[in-house]
Amino acid sequence: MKRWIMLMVTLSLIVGCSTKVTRLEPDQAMDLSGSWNDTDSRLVAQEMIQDALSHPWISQFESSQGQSPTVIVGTVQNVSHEHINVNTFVSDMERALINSGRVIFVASSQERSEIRKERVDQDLNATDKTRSAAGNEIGADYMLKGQINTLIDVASKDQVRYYQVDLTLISMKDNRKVWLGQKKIKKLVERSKLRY
Amino acid sequence: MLKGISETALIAGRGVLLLALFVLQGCALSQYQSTGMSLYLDSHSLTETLAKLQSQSPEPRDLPMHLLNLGMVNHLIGNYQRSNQDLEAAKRALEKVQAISVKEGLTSSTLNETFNDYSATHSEQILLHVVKALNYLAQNDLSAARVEALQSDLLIRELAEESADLASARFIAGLIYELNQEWSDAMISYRKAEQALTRRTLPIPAVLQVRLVNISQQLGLEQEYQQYLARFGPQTASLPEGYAEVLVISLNGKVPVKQQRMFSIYAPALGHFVTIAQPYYLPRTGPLVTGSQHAGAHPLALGLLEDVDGLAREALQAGEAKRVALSLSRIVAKHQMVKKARKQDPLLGLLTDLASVLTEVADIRSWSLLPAVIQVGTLQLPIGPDILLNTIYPGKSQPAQRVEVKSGAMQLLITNSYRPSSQLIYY
Repeated sequence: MKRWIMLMVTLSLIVGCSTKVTRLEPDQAMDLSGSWNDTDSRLVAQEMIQDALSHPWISQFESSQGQSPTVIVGTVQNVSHEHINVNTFVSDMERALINSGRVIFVASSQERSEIRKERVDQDLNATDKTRSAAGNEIGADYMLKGQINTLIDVASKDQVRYYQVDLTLISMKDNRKVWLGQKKIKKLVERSKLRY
Repeated sequence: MLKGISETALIAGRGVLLLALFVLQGCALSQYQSTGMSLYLDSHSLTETLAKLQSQSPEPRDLPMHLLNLGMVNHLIGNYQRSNQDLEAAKRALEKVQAISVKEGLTSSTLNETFNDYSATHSEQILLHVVKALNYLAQNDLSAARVEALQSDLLIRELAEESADLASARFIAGLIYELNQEWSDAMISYRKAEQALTRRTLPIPAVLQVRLVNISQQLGLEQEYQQYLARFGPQTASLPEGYAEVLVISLNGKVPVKQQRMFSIYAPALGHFVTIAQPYYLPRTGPLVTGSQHAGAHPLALGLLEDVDGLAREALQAGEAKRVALSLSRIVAKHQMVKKARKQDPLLGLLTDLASVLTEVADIRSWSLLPAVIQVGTLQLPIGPDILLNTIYPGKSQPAQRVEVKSGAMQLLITNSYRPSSQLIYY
């Protein structure tokens, strides 16, 4: 009997120590450390872009120019307390903008330089029929810039983390700020004071 | 006599001894990995030390310490990206062990403290961010360095202790804000650096004096400016024509290694041996700050920014009361065990007594590859191409490097006494 109990205890310990993997849906919210995560990035990008597209600047442009505005995403600066991968946030915003179908979206400066290099290569190596000529790029009408900021209040092991994302849409023609968006997230992170 | 010893008592006695030996083996390995790497670096190169560290498989409880040492060696070598990966992993491991452990409370009051997860001293936790910030600065990643500056500030606030406010963390944060042209935040950080140095009765390095005077004037903080002016004197730029300034951040030497001091006396009142093991540092024998005041032919005014050696001693001193209390509770616990064993059998009592002596081991683990001091200074170099010979650390290999000294840009030289660098970082 004792042996059986020992065996059961050992087995339960082994099971307890083994790595467990659970597959999650990519859009499922999962907060482990309280830090900025994929859910924050996705939700903030979606909500802010929806907000941006619901404001009059877009209809004003469409009526005056007779076409959809062309937008480019500029720098989103991370001035928060965390090492945030801004690239995922930028790509979330790009996706939300493109999928809206209301704006024309052009490649970023980094992407453009790669494409231009390819065009130079095409000039030398591609056939006339397939070659893409230089000088036909669409210039952006607006640039979207932003900043991710945090304020953290600390008391012992607990923290209140306040994230503020500010986005600005600037007219390339005359530097007018046509839309200012702000999204705030507040999290209470309570860390355990005791452990086994 | 032997006939009277029951078989059970002998088996139990062997068990106690085996446990003690097992405990000792675990402790010895753990202690070796802490102090051993520091001693290893004394007689081996950084690359050999790195290889040695990489070949080790530390106990889970020693993993944060191992990662801290790995991060430090990688920083000294110049593997800044790798260093930050190790230090980030160390930070995450340390975060997990900050809560009070029930199990550790039990083992440290009955066996010894080496079974605890290595949790790092407060100053070590902050210095982790300092090294990470330097790594990011060396990689020209000002934005990520700024995150480290904010995290060290957050940690200092969380620790809520005056002694946890480190001048090096504040100065590096000030420098990062200065490079970002965030003058107000730079002023706050430099002010806190000055306060931390004053609290430890250390002189204010010239580099910091200049910044305090000039930025307080720039921001129109008239009263504060006048105070700094009266204290440090006018800080006018004395840069010769055609020269540019390079800010030097130097990590010099290595923190001392903790030693074990052990007392074992026979207590007649208890009827057995009482053993107390405590960690200590050997006293300082020479001057803390070493290094010449020039790099090649160029004069260099290096000042002490952080006495890391002193911080280690300060932390040990601060934990003394707790360690003594734990030692006393171990004496009581072990006495009860010996008493109980003796009642069962005299030989078992003797073996338990021996085991209680053997298991008394001081916790001498530390981030042993930290520098002894962090220094800052300025180097005046002629604008244009130059050969920079780093002779800050006499007797060390000094690779002469062709550098391009630029005008109008902030130039940094992050160097250390193990592998002096002559590579300028431009901002």
